[in-house]
Amino acid sequence: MSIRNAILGWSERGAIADVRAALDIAGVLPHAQHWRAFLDRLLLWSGAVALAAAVVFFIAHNWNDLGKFAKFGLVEVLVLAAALGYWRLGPEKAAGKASLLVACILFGALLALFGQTYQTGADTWELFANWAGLIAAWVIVGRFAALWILWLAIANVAIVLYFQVRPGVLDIAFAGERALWTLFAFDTAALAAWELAARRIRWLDERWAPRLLAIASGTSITALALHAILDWRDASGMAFLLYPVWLGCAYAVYRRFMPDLFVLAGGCLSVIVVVTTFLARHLLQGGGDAAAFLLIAMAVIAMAAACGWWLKQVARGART
Amino acid sequence: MNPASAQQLWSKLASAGLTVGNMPQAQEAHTPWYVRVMLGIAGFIAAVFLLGFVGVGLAFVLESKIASLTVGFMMIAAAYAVFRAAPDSDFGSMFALAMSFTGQALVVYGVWGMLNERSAQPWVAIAAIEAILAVAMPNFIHRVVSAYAAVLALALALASSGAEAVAGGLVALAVAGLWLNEVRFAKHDAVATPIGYGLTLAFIQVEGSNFTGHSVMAMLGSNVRTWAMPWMGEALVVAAFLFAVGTLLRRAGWTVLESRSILSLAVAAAIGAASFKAPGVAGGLMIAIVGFANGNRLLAGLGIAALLYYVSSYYYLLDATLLAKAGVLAASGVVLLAARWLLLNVIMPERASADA
Repeated sequence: MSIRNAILGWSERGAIADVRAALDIAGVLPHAQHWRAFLDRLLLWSGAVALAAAVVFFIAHNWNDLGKFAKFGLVEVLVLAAALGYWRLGPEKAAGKASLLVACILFGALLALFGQTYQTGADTWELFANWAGLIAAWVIVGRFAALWILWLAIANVAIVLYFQVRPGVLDIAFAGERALWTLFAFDTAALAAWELAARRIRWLDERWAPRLLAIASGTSITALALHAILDWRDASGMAFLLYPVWLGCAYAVYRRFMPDLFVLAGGCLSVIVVVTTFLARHLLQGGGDAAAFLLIAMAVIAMAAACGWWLKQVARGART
Repeated sequence: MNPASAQQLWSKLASAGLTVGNMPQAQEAHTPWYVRVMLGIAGFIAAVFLLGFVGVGLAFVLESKIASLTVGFMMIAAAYAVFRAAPDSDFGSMFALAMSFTGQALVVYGVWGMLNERSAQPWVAIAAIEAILAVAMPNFIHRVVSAYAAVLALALALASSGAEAVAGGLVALAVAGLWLNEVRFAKHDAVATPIGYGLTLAFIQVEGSNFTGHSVMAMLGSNVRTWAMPWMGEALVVAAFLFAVGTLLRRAGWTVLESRSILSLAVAAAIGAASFKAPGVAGGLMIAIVGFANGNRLLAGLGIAALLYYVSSYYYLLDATLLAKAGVLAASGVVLLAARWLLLNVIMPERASADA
């Protein structure tokens, strides 16, 4: 329980005379310096993202009144200005990091403009793959978590688009599954690398980023498990082997080595969804009867209650 | 927070004369938000199968609107009894949650069939029922979901009355009003906080629905005459944003006539004006700022996530060209960065902030 929740809980039971003063003394409410730092970051990042998005929208509009050289000049000058901004402000300042993020986004706009102007015939996945490849050096020198997440998101989009246009020479039916396996392998490797690197590199030690990667990895393997259950004749069946392994690894890592209730809760939800789908697939074949619906509902309730109870025990243990 | 830290905090507050009586007994451990989300999703999945059970095993219930309403209300009442009788039982709470969701689906089905579908009546009735449940049901997840459902039903009621555009603005005012008065509602925190989250989620949803560029009622096949213009809704959102900024300035002890207060409000108004055609920017900023002011990191994070969602969804807004949208975003970006410069150099220069 956080300090804030403890004070609000006591107040609800009539044990606090002045709630705002209590929150203030406990250090929950921000003071002038905190406000300054927060608004600085909020306005900086929202302004930078809005400007970068404005350029992307402008390029996407493909305005004919502006010649191609003027468009290239505009985007190149902005990329250069953002890169110079990073160089001038340095990697430690938030403004420097924001400049680099904008430069990376604008580089994508520049590649899109190139494809739009010269009609290179390249597939869309190539734009994203080239974008990820060309900004990789900036991402490495940037030393900043949000930029890595942007890079990983671009790479994920490239993978999805690749499998949309190249479903495979031998078997089109496996295209979706291959895309999911590739995403799963990529995001799981990224998650493992992130967790290992974060033990040594301080700027990577932000929980929101590996949690996003855990969601991506967990969503892929859960979708693969569902595919294996619902479409078992066409599915490769690998998910039946790897899904329990993934669950076991997630449990071992996030329960034993580096407790993280968020990932454990995600794992619980995945188990509930997969087991429910398995039960529904086998008990509701041909429409199913009322008892089957009731049985599945009770199974979901029991699983959720057990997961909730276990997670609360883990949370209690982690705090004491 | 472990018992030793709680005792330490209590002693600190007691020495400042802020406590009344002895330290209350330790309560049930606070459940993290993501565990609640997991349980809420599981509750919905269970409710779908319970509904299947009613549909297949008790088909006569769905054949009569009256029977649907009766069984639905009975299930909600039973869920209430279980919540009350076994508040600490994990199984009991999950069972009651799933049962109540199923009961609500049956009630909505019954209400929908009994009232004029083309009017605002069924939406108003559903909004009223959900609002009562948000207050009455003694369960955090249930309150969040009911408050969210009540606002969505109210938005649809407004839409079927030709006032779809103002729904987001009205919810924004409610969100700002509730969170900024959190301390006043502290004695009813178990009710007010989940309702606050439900309203906030519904606001993000309603404001986001502006991106479709189509009237919800038109999509539902209704040809109601719209009298509220989109600018009215955005004006209300900007008003809520300004109200939040003004309240926080007053809370910080800045008087209205002070130059830094006037400048702060002018900056907030400029952000609102620049992003007027980009739905969600002022609303997302408002949620983030109010969350930070309350020391509520989850709410502040929700505001920032909403901003990212709005900027990415803005691409798909149908009633403006990409060129116009690029112009709006560029103006918003310039104003936001100018606001930052003013904040750091004029409104809150470093030395003044350190002294405060």
